[in-house]
Amino acid sequence: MVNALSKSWSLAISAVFLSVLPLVLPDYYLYLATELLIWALFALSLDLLLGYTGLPSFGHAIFFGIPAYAVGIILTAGYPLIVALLVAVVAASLTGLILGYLATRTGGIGYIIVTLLASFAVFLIAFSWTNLTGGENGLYISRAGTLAALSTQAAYAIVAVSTALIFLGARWLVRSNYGLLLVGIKTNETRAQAMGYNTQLYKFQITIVSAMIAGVAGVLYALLARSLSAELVGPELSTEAVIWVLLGGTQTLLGPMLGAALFILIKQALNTIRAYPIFLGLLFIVVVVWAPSGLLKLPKGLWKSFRRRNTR
Amino acid sequence: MHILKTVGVSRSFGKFTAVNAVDLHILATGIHALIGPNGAGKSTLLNLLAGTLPVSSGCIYYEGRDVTRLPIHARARIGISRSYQVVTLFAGLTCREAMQLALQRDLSVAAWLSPGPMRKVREDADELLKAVDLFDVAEVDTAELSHGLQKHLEIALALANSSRLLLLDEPMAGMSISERVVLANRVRALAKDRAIVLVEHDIDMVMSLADTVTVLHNGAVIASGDPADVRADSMAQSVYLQAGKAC
Ligand SMILES: Nc1ncnc2c1ncn2[C@@H]1O[C@H](COP(=O)(O)OP(=O)(O)O)[C@@H](O)[C@H]1O
Ligand SMILES: [Mg+2]
Repeated sequence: MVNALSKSWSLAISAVFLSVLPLVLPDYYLYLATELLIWALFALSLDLLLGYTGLPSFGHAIFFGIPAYAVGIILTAGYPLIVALLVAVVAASLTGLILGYLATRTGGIGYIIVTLLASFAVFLIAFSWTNLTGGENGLYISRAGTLAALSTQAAYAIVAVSTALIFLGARWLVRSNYGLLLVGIKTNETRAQAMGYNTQLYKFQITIVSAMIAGVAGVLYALLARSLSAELVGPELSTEAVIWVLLGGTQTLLGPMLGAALFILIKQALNTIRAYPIFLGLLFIVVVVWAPSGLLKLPKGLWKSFRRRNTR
Repeated sequence: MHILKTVGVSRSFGKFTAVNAVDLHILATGIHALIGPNGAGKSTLLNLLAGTLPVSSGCIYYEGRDVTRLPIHARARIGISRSYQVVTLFAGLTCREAMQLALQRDLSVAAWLSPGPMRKVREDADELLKAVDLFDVAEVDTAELSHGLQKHLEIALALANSSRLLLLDEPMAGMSISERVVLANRVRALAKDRAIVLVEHDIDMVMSLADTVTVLHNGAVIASGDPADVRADSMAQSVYLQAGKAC
């Protein structure tokens, strides 16, 4: 009861926080906040696989970058936004279907291998297919018809509302009996099968759901940043996203979203210092030692050890 | 009436044959015990029946239907359920959640996502937990239950979807005497309207509990029939002695 109350409180606070931001933040920071929301959405999509279902998607950038490129390529070819969005939906679904099929066909480590290798492969293709993707130089989308054509506040509003709606949808999914099955598959797939669940089917389904959400994030990113490079489908972003999720706390939705924002903010803040990777490394050590299940679970862990000390 | 028949079922691991041309006839009700020394192939045979492992050769018929190639989840859906020799439940899920998972199986994905059916599943789960005296631990993580309670929950989960064939792999191992008696009574009651295949080491327990006994040795059946007949069988006797030493 107290728990449920505090949970709806944290939702209300988040909502107020997100609505106040555009009123108080100058344009530059509001733009940054918009971008952070997009990365948070991407992190959420990965948490559905990694955190809830135990599926190690180590090539998750593919699901982000391919729809982003689809939008960029179609807009650059001169088609209207609606066509670009439709193509992006098709691209996201196909990517999810193909990769989901290949990755769930083999159990366990097969998922890592397929997703990681696919991320490398797509990265190399995006990097070298210069006619289509701009290759090394990247792809620049002209302003007209993108989020950049709107005011910073309007762009923020669109991204914030999309993120909030998808978050609520994901929250409902993981709290449903479908979500229960996903966690059951994560903790004991063999037993879930023995209970009569075709676990491969549900792993395939949730991979597609996750791919679609990552695709929304990718499309929003393309329309906001208007500059695409092969890194957006590559292994580096894929790995970084795994770190965001672990940093924030798997199987919490909100944790990975905060983890993404925190990681990027720290990276940006330290960017001016040459030795900044050292500080990132230290942060990871802190997390591993004091909050191995993620920052979001840190207060709970501290509270527990505090109580233990006091009752002793 | 037989609920399950195997014809020449074998399973090899490389050159080693763990189950060798087994013909098994399981009646639709009652307890059918599988005994034999360690390494005789009992667990492997259960795995073949449940579909956890594919057979190397031979056929399995369930209610007259060839299920040899049916995957484990499809066999579960037609009424074959099992417990494991080493119990691992769903660490991180509570007993209630584990029970919900068992109960929701035959609902649609749409129902899993809707508040009404979700509430119903939860209520049914609590009912079932009450019926097997596990309601007190409804909120407890399945991994934190005592060994005996885990075994009880495991069987309750296996029965949640009115299975007609229950495969139990050494359910009494690691239990105290009093826990064994409770479980034996429970299994006895369950066997009134379903088939139970029971792998068990405790020979006295088997002899008093089972309606039919099959003795496995080196993967092959060496005796099968009434407990009394099997007890009189000289070949089976020599295996008992071995089994007695092994345990
Ligand atoms: N997955 C496996 N790979 C190789 N050998 C196995 C495997 N499973 C079982 N065995 C072997 O098969 C034999 C039968 O094992 P098992 O069915 O567990 O015996 P029981 O349950 O009767 O003690 C043992 O010798 C065991 O080592
Ligand atoms: Mg065994």
